Amino acid sequence: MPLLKREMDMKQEEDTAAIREQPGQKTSFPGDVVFSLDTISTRTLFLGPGVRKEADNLIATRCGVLRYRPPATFFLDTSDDSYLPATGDDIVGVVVRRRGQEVLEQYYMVDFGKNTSRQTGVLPILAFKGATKRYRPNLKKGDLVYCRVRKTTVDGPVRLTCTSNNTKEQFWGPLRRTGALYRAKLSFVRRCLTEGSAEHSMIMEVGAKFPFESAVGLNGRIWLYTGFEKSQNLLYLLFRDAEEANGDVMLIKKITGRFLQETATLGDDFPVEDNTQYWVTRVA
Amino acid sequence: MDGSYVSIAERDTYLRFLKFGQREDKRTAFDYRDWQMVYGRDPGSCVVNLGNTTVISSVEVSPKRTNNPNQNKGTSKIDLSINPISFLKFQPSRNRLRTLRRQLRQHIKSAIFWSKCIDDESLCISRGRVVFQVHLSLDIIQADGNLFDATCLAAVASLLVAQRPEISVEGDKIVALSMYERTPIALQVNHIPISTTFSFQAASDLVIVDPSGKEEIVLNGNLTVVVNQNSEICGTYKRGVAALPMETIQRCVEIAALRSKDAALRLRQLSEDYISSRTKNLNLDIMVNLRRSKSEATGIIDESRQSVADRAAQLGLMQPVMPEHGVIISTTKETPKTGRPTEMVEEDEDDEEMEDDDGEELGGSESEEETTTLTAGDF
Repeated sequence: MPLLKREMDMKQEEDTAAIREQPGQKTSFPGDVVFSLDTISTRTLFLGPGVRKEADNLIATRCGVLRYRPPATFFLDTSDDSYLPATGDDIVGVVVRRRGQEVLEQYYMVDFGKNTSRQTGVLPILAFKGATKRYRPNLKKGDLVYCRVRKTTVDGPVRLTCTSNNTKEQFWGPLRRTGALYRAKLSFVRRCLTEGSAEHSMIMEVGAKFPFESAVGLNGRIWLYTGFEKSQNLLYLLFRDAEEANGDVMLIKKITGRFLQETATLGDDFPVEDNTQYWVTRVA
Repeated sequence: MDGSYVSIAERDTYLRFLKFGQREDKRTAFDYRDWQMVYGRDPGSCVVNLGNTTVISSVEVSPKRTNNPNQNKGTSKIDLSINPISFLKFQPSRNRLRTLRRQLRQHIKSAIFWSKCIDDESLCISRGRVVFQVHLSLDIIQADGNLFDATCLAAVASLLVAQRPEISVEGDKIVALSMYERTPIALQVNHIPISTTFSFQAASDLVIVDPSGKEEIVLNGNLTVVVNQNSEICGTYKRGVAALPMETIQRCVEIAALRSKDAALRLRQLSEDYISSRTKNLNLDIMVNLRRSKSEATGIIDESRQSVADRAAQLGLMQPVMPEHGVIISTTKETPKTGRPTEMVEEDEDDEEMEDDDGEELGGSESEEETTTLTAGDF
């Protein structure tokens, strides 16, 4: 088994090298051949939005730049700013109301629309890690929740969940009300989540020296929490500046350095008060 | 369809900035966003940018019939198009949008027409028969806070360069001459009202100027002060629940007066530049248009129009109209009302009194019938 695994790894490395050789940073238009699959051996592809497979070629279905993530994930990065939910997306949503009669059938309506439009999904009341009929989060209107898109259908509502089959990665759940929320462009959010990008390295660099909590939703909402008012404002402005920098590596490095200087000389900071208990025990 | 949802965390985020004297977009409390204004090709049209808020405005001054025998002033009409889609950050609910539309219309009326910004007595052509109507149409393309200032600025900017056609009166015949026959006349603008909006938070001494779209959803009090370039208050408009002490209002008026001087000067400069550049290009424009109209006159379209008019004249439907002339507004004499029953006359008078109280007349759709039949040629 280990030998096989090593072989697979080697194969992947070869593939990765082959893919990296192909020009990918070019803007392609609908109908363009963005990538030819002749050079790679794996036939299991993960195709994201904007890419379609035809024979041995990947063809663009809209304008954008091809992005690749090992082992074999392809998608077309666009500056399109309207969010369409897809299965597996991590999003930050707002609780709108609670619906349903029986406890087991109750669910939260969660709004995850981009800036202006309303898009609501359904989050079952027990779809949290460790939630039972008695012990479960009690969310109010206006609370933020970090959740995952479980299923999207043509007619029905978008189904959301805060659980996963993988026990190691269970970080979804209600977010603190005292945190800050930043609304960003979708392209910025995608860059934040892509390893190797300037924005991602900025978050890592800041996080190493200045601990903070964040939840980056693919629907363009970024939740930030440091526990202190002034530093939270600064963090908000950092993300705002980084978005305005528009992928400029040097500028983002400059912004990061300035932010770290400012936080070092911050002086007295006021802790944000948060006495709310999101998880409550209910005696039936 | 209905307004977008705002989370508690997001509201607190914007308030937390204001608490420390900062703002979400890195301005200080009394920092006004930069605005730009560009005039369009047609006289009286302009685009105003205030941050991300964009308003397109245009003015058309045209003669209209009036039924009010005591009408001795020009009338005004405001078209305001505002869409939920144009809101960049937070979409308002349907009720909120309706309220906003009403408030904006009221604000423009009071800031511009009630403060006598344009000399409406000079817009009377024939008392009780024909007056000029100032038709102001405002399109809100993008909304990112402070629509009140942006719309007011756009309206004033377009009124500064608006033109009305020259009128010739021969007995009972009133003809609006086209721009090729006689150069149009600019409107008389008495003063330049500039509005400045302040936002407040109830039960706190927080005051900011020029709220952005994000701040507008958080703060619950607004005061719009309209001051002209001579530091005269032309109107105020307060909305929201925050109660204000007298000192705050006085301070707001002082700040608005300071701002209005600069803004009025800049607006005047921009309008003068536009007018001077336009008069240079005007002769060329007229040459091009005249050539075009001549070629049209020799073409088939114009001949057919002529023949239709002749046929109509033969049938006694309408009088033949020379295409060289502009629009003939009124050719018939005032019909004596003696033949009509007395009750009808009384009803008419009641209506006119109502209009007098209002001070405004919106449109004259009932009186347009005869005008439309007599219309010939383009303006």
